[in-house]
Amino acid sequence: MKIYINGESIDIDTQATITQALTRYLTSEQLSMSFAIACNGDFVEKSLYAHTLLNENDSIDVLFPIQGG
Amino acid sequence: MMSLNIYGQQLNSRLLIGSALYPSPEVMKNAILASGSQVVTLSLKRQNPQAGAGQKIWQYIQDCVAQVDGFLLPNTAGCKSAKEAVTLAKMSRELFNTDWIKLEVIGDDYNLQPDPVELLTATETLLNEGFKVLPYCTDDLVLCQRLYDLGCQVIMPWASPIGTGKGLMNPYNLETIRLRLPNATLIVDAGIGKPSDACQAMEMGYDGVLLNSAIALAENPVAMANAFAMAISAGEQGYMAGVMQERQTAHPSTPTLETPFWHQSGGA
Repeated sequence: MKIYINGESIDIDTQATITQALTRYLTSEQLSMSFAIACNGDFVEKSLYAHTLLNENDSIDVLFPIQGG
Repeated sequence: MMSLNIYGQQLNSRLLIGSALYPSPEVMKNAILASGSQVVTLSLKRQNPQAGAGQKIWQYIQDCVAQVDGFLLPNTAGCKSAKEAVTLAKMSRELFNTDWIKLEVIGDDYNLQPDPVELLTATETLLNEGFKVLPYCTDDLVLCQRLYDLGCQVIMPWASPIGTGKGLMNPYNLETIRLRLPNATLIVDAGIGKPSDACQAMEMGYDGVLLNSAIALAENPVAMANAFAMAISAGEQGYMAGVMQERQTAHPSTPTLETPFWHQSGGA
């Protein structure tokens, strides 16, 4: 099925979790970095990544720390 | 100097500093250290898998904050609705391990003016969820009062639009907010261009100044950071010392008694 991560379309297995989708999309270096997740505009706690099943056309935002004013 | 109170946390510096727009991470770090600030703002953004620069910046910011025994202040820059801002605040709380949030909800792309309606909605939601909200808002007295009534202990009206460096566009509004909200921690946020702008805000009795561009875009950001630290200290000391009342007419400073040559013929 198709989902979106940071606006990019990717194909993943049905019944995939957020953890599995992240493993497909992020580099191993990025997976070791600090980041936070929203799914369809709602915050998802880190502890729920492995248990949250994704649906067709779900949209995940993976956000990293950057400089800001 | 007295300390700055952010939701009960006492800070030695009244300058809050942004981490963006510096010519290099090294300059950013040195400018933050030169400013003496203990609060550094930062943000969250998407990053594609090929990009790796963000992690270095994050490491530098962490090093700076640790070095000054300081605090991170994540913002919600780029959000245009209460829902977006609330989501980003929750993501920031998890990632940065802080319940402080510099709440920005932009209502106009041209001058990055905050949306007062969405800002109030987001503020109420976040306060109810245990956040310590530092709302970035316009210099509107009623909006600031509403934010205070909701439970914001810190309110951050702008001096002028973000990044303009125009200084205090409407000193009357800022003075009125200070006068009417004597118990709020008031921080001027955005639009500061020169150290004298920051000094002016502090002379009004503001509790602090938050800025980024004025330091980061200076020819010498590190020297400018030091200049702002001194200006803020000078403004605070001036306010505490009690500024004289302005008068409409001239009054001689030198005593006029026993003035020589007075009233002699043809004297100027």
